[in-house]
Amino acid sequence: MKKLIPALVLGLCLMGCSGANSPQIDARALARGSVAALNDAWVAAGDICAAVATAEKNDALRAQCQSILVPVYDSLHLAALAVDGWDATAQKNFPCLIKDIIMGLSQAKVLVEDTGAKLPQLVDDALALASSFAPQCQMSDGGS
Amino acid sequence: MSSTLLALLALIESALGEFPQLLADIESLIAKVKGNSVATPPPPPLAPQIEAQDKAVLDELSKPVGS
Repeated sequence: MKKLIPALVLGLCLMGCSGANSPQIDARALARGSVAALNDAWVAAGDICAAVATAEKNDALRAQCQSILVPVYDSLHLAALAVDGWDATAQKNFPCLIKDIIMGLSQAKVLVEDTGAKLPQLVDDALALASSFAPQCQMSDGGS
Repeated sequence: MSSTLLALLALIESALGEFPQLLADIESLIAKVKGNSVATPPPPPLAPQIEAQDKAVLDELSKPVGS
C-alpha cells in the first residue's frame, strides 16, 4: 500500500497529462449522443402531439404532426445508420441529416406549442447539443 | 563521516531500492487500465434501437382521431 499510493499518483498524473493534450470530444461519440438525444426529443414531440390531437379530437393536428415527424424519423434513421457505419461517406452526410432533423423538430415544436402544450426541456437540450453539426452542412453544400 | 550523512545515504539507498518496485507498480497499473479499455465491448448499433423505440409513435401518428 505504501508503494502503491505514489505509483497511483504518478500513474494518474501521467494519464492526466496525456489527456490534457487531447481535450476534443470524439466526433463519433458526439454524433451518437446527438442522435440518441434527438431521438428522445422526437419521441416526446410525437407522443405529445398525438396526445393533444386525441384529446382535442383534432385529426388535422395529427396529420400535420405526421407530415412533419415522419420525414424527421427517416432522417433520424439514416443518421443512426451513419453513426453505426461512420465511414467517410457517413461522416460527410451526417451534418446535413442533423440539420434536417433540427429543422423538422423545430417545426414540430412550434406546432405543438401553438396548441398551448409544452414540450419537455429535453427537446431544447437535444436541439442545442446537435446544433454543433449543422454549420458543417452549410460548409459542405456551399452554404445553402 | 557524520551520522547524519550516513543516515542520508541509507535513505537514498532505500529509495533507490524501491524504485524498480515503483516502476513495476506503475506498469501493472497501466496494463490494468489498457486491459479494461480493450475489454470494453463496442456500443450496440443505434439504428435498430431507434426503429424499436419509434415504432409505437409512428403507429400512433398514423391512426386518425375522431373529429
